[in-house]
Amino acid sequence: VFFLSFFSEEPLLLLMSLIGLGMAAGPIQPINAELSCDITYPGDETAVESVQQIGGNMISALLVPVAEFASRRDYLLLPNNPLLESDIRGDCLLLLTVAALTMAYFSTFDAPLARTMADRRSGSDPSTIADISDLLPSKISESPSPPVQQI
Amino acid sequence: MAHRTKSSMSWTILWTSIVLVIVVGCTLGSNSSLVHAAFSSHHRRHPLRQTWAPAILTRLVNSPKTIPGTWDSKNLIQWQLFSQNPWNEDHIHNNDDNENPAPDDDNILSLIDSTTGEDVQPRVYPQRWIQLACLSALALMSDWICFSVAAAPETYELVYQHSSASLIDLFLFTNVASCFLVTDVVAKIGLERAVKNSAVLMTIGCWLRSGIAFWNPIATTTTTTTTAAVAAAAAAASSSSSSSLLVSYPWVVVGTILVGAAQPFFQCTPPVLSALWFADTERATSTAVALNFNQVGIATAFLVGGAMATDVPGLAHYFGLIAIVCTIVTIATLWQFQEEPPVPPSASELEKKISGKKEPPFLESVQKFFQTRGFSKALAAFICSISITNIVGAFIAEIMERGGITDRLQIDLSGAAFEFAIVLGGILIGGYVDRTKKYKFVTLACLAATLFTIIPLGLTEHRIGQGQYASDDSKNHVIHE
Repeated sequence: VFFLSFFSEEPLLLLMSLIGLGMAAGPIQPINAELSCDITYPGDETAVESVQQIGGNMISALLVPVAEFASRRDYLLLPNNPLLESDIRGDCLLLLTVAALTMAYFSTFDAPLARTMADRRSGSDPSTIADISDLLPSKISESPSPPVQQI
Repeated sequence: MAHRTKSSMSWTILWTSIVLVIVVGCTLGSNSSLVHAAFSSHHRRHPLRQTWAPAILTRLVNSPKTIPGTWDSKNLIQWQLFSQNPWNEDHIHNNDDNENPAPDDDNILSLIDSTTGEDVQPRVYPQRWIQLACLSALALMSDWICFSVAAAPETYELVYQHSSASLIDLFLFTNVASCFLVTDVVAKIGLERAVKNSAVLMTIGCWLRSGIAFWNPIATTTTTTTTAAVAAAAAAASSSSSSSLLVSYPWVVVGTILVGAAQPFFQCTPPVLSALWFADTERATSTAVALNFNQVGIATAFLVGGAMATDVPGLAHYFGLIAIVCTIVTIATLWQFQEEPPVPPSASELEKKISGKKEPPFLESVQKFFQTRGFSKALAAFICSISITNIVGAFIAEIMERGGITDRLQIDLSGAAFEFAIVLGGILIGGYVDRTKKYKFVTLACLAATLFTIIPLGLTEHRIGQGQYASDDSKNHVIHE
C-alpha cells in the first residue's frame, strides 16, 4: 500500500506495473511448457505444446468478451480511507480471480520430473532411483547436472 | 502531427532494423562447415554425420551399475550405431537377441562411436542458436501478420469494408484448427520439413495479401495522414491509382488463412526444438525465447503498422514490407534450418532416441497427458498466463488511459514495452529455472507477482492510478456501482 501511495498521481505506477506484469506473467508460459514436457517424458513435446496452445487460445478467446464487459464495471476500494481510497475496474478483478484460482490449484502440484531425472541419472537404470521422492521437484535440484560437450 | 509522424517513422526504421538484424544473424551466424551442411539436403552429408557413418552396433552387458546423481559416460546406454539412420529401431541389434532396447537391472548401456572407440556423450552445437533464431523469427512474423492491421484499422476498414477484428478472428480460428494437425504432421514428416513448408506457406500467404503492385512508383506518390484524407482516398479507391496498389478482399482472406494455418508450426514446436537441440540447462530459456518471440511480432505490428498504414499507399507498402521481410526469413530458414543434431544434447533425449519409440497420434497423446499426474496443473498455469497477456494486450489502450497515458504513440510504446518485458522475463526467469529446475517455486512466485502487478492496471480514480495527464474522457465512462 505504501508502494502504491508513493507512486500516486503518476502514470509511472501504471507503466511499471505493466512491465512488471509482463516479466512475471510472460515466463509462466514457457516454464510450464517445459514442465509439462518434463512430467510427460518420454511423451511428444509437440503434442504437449499443441494441447496448451489450443487450451490457452480457446480460454482467452472466451475471456476477452467477459473482460470487455467487466471493464465497464467499477468497484470502490477502501472508501473510508481518504488517502488510499480508490476504485478498480472489473476486468482487473477478473484477471485477479483467474490468477488467484490458478495459484491455489497449482500450489498442489507435486508430480515427478521424469525427464530431469533421466538427465540426472548417469545410467538409464530405473532401479538406481532409491525413492520416488527423488523424482519430486523439491529434490531434483539437489542432483548435479551432467556435463555436456560444447562442439 | 509532424513530430509524431517523424517519431513514428523513426520507430518504423528501428523495428525494421531489429527484424533484419535477426534475419541477418540467422543467415550469417553459422560457421562455414555448417553452411556447407545446410546446402546439402540430407543429414548424411553433414560433416559431423560423416564421423558417425561407419558405426556398427553392439551391446555391452553386465556393466557396473551407476551411482545416482553422478555422470559416468561408461554407464550410459551403450550402443554403437548404424550409419544411415542411427536412431532407427530396425538397426539396433544386441547379442542376446533381445529386441527391446529398454535397459534392465543387469545391463547398463552406453553409446559408443566405433570410429574412435570412445563413449558418445550428449553434446550441443552452435547450430542450435541458428535453429532458435529461425523459429523465433518465424514466430515473430506470424503474429506480426496476424495483428498487422490492428494498430491502424481505419485505413483497412475503409478500403475493404470489413473490420480488422474479423480478419484477426479468421486467422485465430484457422490457427486453432491447424493446432490439431501440427503434432501428427511433425511426427510424419519431421520438424525440419514441417517448419520449412510452413514458412513457405506463410510467405505465399503474405504475397497473396500484398500483391506486387505496391512497387508501382506512380501510384505511391499520394501521402495522406488524417482520417478524413484516408476516407477520401478510400472512397475514390475503386477508380484511383491507389486502389491498384492493394489486392481484392478475397485474396486477403485466402492469404490470411494460409498464414493462420502455418503459425502453429512455429508456436507448438519450441519445446521439441529445445529437446532436440539444447542441453537440459538451456531448454527453458530457449523455449521462452521461441515461445514468446511472437509477442515481439505483436509489438512490431503496433509500432510499424501504426506508423505506415495511415493511408492507402501506406497500407500497400506496409503489406509489401511484411511480404519482403517474410520472404527473407523464409529463405534464411530454408537455408539454415535442420532436423536434429548428430548427437542428442541430453541424456534424456539420447535415451528417447535409442528406445526407438514412435510418437502416438495426437488424440492418443492427449488422453495420455491428462492421465499424467500434474499435467492439468501445468496446463492451468499456462492458460492463466496466456489469458492475462492476451487480455492486457487486447485492452492496452484502455488500460493506459486509466493511468493517464492517452497519446497514441505513448500507448503503442507502452504496449511494446509490455511485450518486450514478456520476452525479457522469459529469458531471465527461464535461465534461473534451467539452473535450478524449480518449476513449482518459480511458477508460484510469478503468479504471486502477477497478482501484485495486476492491481494498479485497474485503478482509475482518486489518489492512486489517475495521473495528472489524464483526460477527462477517461473518467467519464466509468460506471460506479
